[in-house]
Amino acid sequence: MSESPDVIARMLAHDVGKYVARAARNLPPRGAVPGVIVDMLFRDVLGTLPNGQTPSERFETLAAELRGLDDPRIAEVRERFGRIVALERELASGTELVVRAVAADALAIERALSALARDLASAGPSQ
Amino acid sequence: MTARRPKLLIVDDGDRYVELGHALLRDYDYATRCDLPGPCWTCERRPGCTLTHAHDAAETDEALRKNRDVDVVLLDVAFDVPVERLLPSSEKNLERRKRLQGIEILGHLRRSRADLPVILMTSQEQLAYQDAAEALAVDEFASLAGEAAFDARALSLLVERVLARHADSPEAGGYTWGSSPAMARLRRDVSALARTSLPILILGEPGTGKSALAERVLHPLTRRKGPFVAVDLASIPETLVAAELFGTARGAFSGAVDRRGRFEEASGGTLFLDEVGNLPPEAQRMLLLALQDARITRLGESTPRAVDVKLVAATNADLGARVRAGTFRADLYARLNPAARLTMPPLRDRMDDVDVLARALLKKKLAGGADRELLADYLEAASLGGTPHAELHLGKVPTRVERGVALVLSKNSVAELRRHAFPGNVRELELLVANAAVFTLADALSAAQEGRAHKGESARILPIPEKLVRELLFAGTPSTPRTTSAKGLAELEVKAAPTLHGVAHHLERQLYERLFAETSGDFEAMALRLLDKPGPSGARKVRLRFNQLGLKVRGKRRVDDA
Repeated sequence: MSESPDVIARMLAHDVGKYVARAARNLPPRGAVPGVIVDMLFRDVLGTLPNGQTPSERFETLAAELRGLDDPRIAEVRERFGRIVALERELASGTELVVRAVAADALAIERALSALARDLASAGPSQ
Repeated sequence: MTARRPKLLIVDDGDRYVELGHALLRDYDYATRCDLPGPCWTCERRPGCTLTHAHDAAETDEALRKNRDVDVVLLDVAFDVPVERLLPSSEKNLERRKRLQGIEILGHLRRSRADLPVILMTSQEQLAYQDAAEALAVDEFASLAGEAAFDARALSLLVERVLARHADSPEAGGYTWGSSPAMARLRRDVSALARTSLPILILGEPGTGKSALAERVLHPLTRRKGPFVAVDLASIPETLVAAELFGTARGAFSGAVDRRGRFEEASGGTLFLDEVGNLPPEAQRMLLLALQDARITRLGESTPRAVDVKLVAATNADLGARVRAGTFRADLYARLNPAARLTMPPLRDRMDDVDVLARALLKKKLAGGADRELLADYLEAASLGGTPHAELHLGKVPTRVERGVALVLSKNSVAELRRHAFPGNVRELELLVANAAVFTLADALSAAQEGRAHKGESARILPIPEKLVRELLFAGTPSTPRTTSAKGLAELEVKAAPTLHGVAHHLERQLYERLFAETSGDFEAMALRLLDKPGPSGARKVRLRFNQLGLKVRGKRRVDDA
């Protein structure tokens, strides 16, 4: 892949950020989370994308293209994906506390990747 | 908020938006959670669901063909589907084609459904955003989802907003009110009357838009969820009217089968009876009973059936005079609620609306079908591209045309339009605008194909020739047939009609029929017989008038279309 960093960042926001936050941003503000939404959240953060990768794998593939970019948001997203993967079993069981924690991480991932895409877009293409 | 939950078509290559719709929009009453495929709102297992879905352009066409009542399309932008499922494109880069397939689908959809609200599901960080924003800058009825793309609450609010904007547009429901005092009064009366369960009677001259008011305004206001069934009583033989309206039971008469009538077909919706003054006596009696008891009895049956319809009746006849003459039942007339009748003003009483009507009629004419194809072909031949779009400019050449083309009527043509009496009312204006647009576009297309046309941005401005407008106005004016050069006038049948215009119309029709037969359908020969100096456009004028009289040509045979 030989896209410029701003394009890679937009792909990160689209392919990773947008999808991991799909169910997360629609959680009911309080009370039990319906099972159907827990299932969607599980698939959003740990399931496979159309290209066969999980979101964290897609993130790593694209982030590798940004090796020269020293941006703390990349490390932050990696750390949050690490937490989500570690909670896979608890998330599958639908524990409310875990569901909300994973959703919070998913939303934070989306915010970080969107902000990165916006910043790089305003800086303009570097190639 | 709309009166009913709008129907959404979700177009997405995968199931993410479909799943989102079912799982999350149900909180906003759009959906019922399930994983079943196919159109949702026809599914008995999910009553109340107003979502359905498609996965590519072909499925979108199919879904819209089967479901003409879709209110809003939620359209993804990137489509990761095999190349054979992508729309044809001149773009060579396959990845880019996939990334922007939603925008291609939007353009494709606009060729058939110009004003269907579409929400492109893309947000600012997506690769397609810039391209989508450019496409949408020239599309009045498309929006970007932005942050609402995955937020069910924001998305439901966006759908409501998009629908409200659509409803507020001058062409909402395809009906243009204009701003004349006469139409303002009508609009006020419609609002008041639509709230009642009473029948509605619409009066007005031919061509004033009685059926359009019934279908596009009254039906959506009162019985939108039900069917709209229109019956033109003038076109049904008297002996068949009762069977047509009330249905038949097997054996009611020779050859009768069990069949629902129009009343039953319209159950839960609106039944529009045009030319209600033409109802024969027996059907008048049956209609009266139906209105009194909300029940009808099929011919040949004895057990009544309950029906629930909003009855809208229209006529250009003086029903009061018919009651006095004993040809229309007084009790039925009273049931039709004449005290609260709606009166369509003739166009000559709302000439201030001619501009806005002409613009709306042009849009309607070019909104779909062969006319839209003609416009698309011109844009392509003139290397202008883009979604087919045309606007009518009256008396002023625009300095800049943002998209599509501007069809321009000169100041002289506008003055002639305003002087014209329009005896055929809005229908006559509609024909004039339609013919002016089609002739102008067809000429422009020929010029572009032959390399005679303007190049670049100036090709976006298409003046409508003054001569053409004059010809169309002349052809639209009913005139007494010339007696000096047309043979056989003495043999024409004079048939009494409510107005002298009706008498002349009938005579003129006979004249054209006869000339058509005598010349074997040769319009040039007909023009030579009818006009002193027919010139090169004589045949076209005669053919236009021939069509306006309700006569049609198929091959060399005339088919009576009245």
